[in-house]
Amino acid sequence: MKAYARVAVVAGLLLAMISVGTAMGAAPVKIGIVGPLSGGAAMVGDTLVKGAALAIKHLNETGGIHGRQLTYVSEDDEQNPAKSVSAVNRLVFQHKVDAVVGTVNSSCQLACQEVTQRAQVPHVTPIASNPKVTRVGNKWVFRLQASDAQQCTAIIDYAVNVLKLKKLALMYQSDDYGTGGKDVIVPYLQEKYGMKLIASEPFNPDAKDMSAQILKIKNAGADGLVMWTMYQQGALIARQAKQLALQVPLMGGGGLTNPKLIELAGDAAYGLLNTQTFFPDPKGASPEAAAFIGAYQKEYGVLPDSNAAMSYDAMMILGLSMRKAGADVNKAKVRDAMADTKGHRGVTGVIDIDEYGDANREILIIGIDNKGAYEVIWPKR
Amino acid sequence: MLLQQVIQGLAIGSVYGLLALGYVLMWQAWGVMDFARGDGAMVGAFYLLIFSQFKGLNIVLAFILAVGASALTGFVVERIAYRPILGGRDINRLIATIGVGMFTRNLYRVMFGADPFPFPSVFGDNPIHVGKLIIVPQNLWITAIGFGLAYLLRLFLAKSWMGKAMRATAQDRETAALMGIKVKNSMTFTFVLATVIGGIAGMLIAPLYFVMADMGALMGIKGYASAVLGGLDSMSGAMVGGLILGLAENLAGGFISSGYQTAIAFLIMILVLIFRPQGIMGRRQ
Amino acid sequence: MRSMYPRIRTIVLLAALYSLPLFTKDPYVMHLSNMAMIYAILSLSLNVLTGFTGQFSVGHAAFYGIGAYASALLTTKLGAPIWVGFIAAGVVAAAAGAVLGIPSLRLRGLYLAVTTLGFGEIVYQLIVNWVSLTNGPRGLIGVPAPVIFGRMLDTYDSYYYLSATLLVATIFVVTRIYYSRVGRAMLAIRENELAAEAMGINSTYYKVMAFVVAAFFAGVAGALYAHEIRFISPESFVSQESITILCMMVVGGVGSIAGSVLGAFVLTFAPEYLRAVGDLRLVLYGATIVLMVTYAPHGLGGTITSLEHRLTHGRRPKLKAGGDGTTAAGV
Repeated sequence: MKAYARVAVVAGLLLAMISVGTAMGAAPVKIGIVGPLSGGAAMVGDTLVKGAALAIKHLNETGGIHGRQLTYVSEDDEQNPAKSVSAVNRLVFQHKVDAVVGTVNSSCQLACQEVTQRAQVPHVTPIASNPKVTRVGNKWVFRLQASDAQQCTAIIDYAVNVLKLKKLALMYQSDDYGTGGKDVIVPYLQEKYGMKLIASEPFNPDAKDMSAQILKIKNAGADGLVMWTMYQQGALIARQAKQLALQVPLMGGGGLTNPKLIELAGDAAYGLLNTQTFFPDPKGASPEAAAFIGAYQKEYGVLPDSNAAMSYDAMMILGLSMRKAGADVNKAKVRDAMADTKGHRGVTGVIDIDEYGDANREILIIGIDNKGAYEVIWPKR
Repeated sequence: MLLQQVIQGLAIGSVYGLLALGYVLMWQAWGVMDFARGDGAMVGAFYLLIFSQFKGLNIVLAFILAVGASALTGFVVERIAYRPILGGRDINRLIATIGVGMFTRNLYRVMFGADPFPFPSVFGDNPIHVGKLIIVPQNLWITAIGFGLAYLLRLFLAKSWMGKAMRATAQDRETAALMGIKVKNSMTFTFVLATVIGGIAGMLIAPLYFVMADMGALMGIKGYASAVLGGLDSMSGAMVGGLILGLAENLAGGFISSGYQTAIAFLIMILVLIFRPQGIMGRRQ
Repeated sequence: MRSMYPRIRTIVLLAALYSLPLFTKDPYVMHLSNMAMIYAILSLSLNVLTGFTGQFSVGHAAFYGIGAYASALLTTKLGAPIWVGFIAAGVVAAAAGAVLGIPSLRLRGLYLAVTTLGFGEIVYQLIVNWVSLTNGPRGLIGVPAPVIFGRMLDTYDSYYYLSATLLVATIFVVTRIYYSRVGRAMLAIRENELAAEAMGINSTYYKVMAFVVAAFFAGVAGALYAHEIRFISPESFVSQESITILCMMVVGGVGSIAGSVLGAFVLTFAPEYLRAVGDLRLVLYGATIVLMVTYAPHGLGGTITSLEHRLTHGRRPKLKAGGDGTTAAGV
């Protein structure tokens, strides 16, 4: 009898262990991250993965998805549309992920979101800012980045209403990011203020010498220069504008925000203004953003930039929507939960997802002061 | 406005010309169009960055060390990638240079990241104002050093024994060997020289356009075009080709369309080549 | 036995090519296979220009892009049927090829290479800046999937058969050119243009023709790309793409038809397998290319020919090597 009892106890323990084990080891929820992990935009891809990975860590620390842990795999799209399709195919069909986060470049985004749409997998892009991403009738795609439409109108309003500029000039890089900005600015200026750009000059995204464009703008008598480009090119323009004595306010979009710009351009960058949704300084940031900055710095040893913040928010909203959808993370339910997101207190502001799948929130205007540090310019606090 | 555009065009043009010198040298000694020249310039710029900024050495000492490191790099690359296929087909050698360029560029990107590094200007950042015109000192130095190097290289090739050996080797390897020239040594020397000159070009443009793994790729193509435009057998042709390309680019950008800037520069290059296939200062063969 | 071998080989290869989707319908594998076949057509077409006629080109992506945009624009903006798009892609690209062929009459070697490089850059900037036609950097969305015999080829595995058929057609035509009078004239020009002229070969005609033929197939490859990926933007046709195609041709073997196909498949799939090493992938890619041209100067095609030759003849063939003579390492 004793022997039976012992066997029963042991068996019971074993059963308990197995059942706990299965509960603990319930199949993880898989997230696929796609971004440019090599090539010219590799640093953006890198911060994208880091931001999402931090969100996954925080989600797991607070119980995962109804007890299921979140894991992620990342794939490189090399900033090439064909490669982005390959990468997302691999995530969806080989890794069998439950949702996709990424990518950066809008051309890549437009190409690869066809894959997730056809496979009916929720897809959230933290960074791609071309307005079309959410306007092609794809119900499976969401965007965290403030679209170019929101950013351009914010900076133009500031330039015209607050700075009282009358002769605005534009320089934009001749890719989807730069032309996306131009396509919003030109009609907006015309329709809202009855103004025309005094000069509108494209340049190659990898151009080094922008003096032809700068001289043309100087010669046209511009009183303000809006540049729609990333921070490396922004630094070159700021320096060359200073050398060629084009002394007008420089303004731009979120792509310019990066401490590297100040490091590269030095005092030529002082006074530069740009739109932003995330302010990388704990002082003057919302409690959510301050907590994120601290956690990110502790995890990776560097300050987060806005891309990391967008990626964090994207993954957070995705994770919270998965929780709402239930333990089986039914893809259609996750999609619906994402679309219903309202008043999410993210690190890039209080976010509502609109009917197109775009995240709406207040846009900040930040500037570089005379000591080379970022400060919030608008709205005044 | 026009004059200032011309000045800016000449400024970027001399950068192209400086890069073109390495192409001409490689063409003369090796008979190959070396797609890795631009990346050689990038490597040189990184060496100077490492010695002067990361290690904090005096700029002159850092420059000497960077030149030495470039030479050593050239020597190693020549042994590993260029010499083994010396007798191979033109197209294979061309592809080998593309492979070397890709390898180098991506290796540096892995090591240093994709972000650019700023580099302080040795010759002063403040532009000089001459009447209404603005001149950046670094550009003046690039133009002067470019033409100086072109002149020295021409003298070296024409007058020195080593230079003559190099030219003889380029024309006919077998005969040169019969004449007692140590062909392989001569070719190694040219390759090292081309790497060093490319490296110096990279160091000179670093203060203007920052140091980054990708800096060589685009600039290298413009240098290539300048070398061909000027004529592949002329050192001063390389500088002149660069100046013309730079001028065409800036004037096109300033007065025609900035979107088509590069396209117009290449179109002019193609037209020149149709009417003068040997390049502007090249000799007809 | 010997005469039977090529025929058996062809049948086995064709069967293998067409039966692949029976074993896997995995969209990832199928999409990559489609890309590999598109690159194979590009590499084959470049071979007509460089391998057969000896004219360097570093601007092949221009024809690829022209073809892609021609077909995408006709089918999206004018609603033309897909087959019209494919033919137009070839024809428009061929016309561009004729234009680029003209400088080739006066330029050779590296001077021609830099001209083609410039041409590639010009076409790229046209695509970027001619916004009213091409929609510029934002690209063209909604390129339709082809409908053939009432069936819509909107999945990667159904599209595979279209890619495979066009690849087989390209191989067939290029092989026929190689063995024809035209092909022999091209090879003669490659080996020695003056001698060819002396033999009464009109080198002007054949050199421009090589450009036209090469551009035609590259254009068709462009259409094939546009309707597979169904979204095109200028990024897909940058100079780097021309260099990728050139590498595929050389790694496969200059002048070798089997090699071109092999080179395209290897250089399309290899970087995917190298994904595991992350950032080092492109470093290894560069190193592999250097090693390939050093240790297999006749390319994969050459290596296979010599293996096959040993298999069927029991000894090594003599491959003509050295100098500028680009060798036709077996077809």
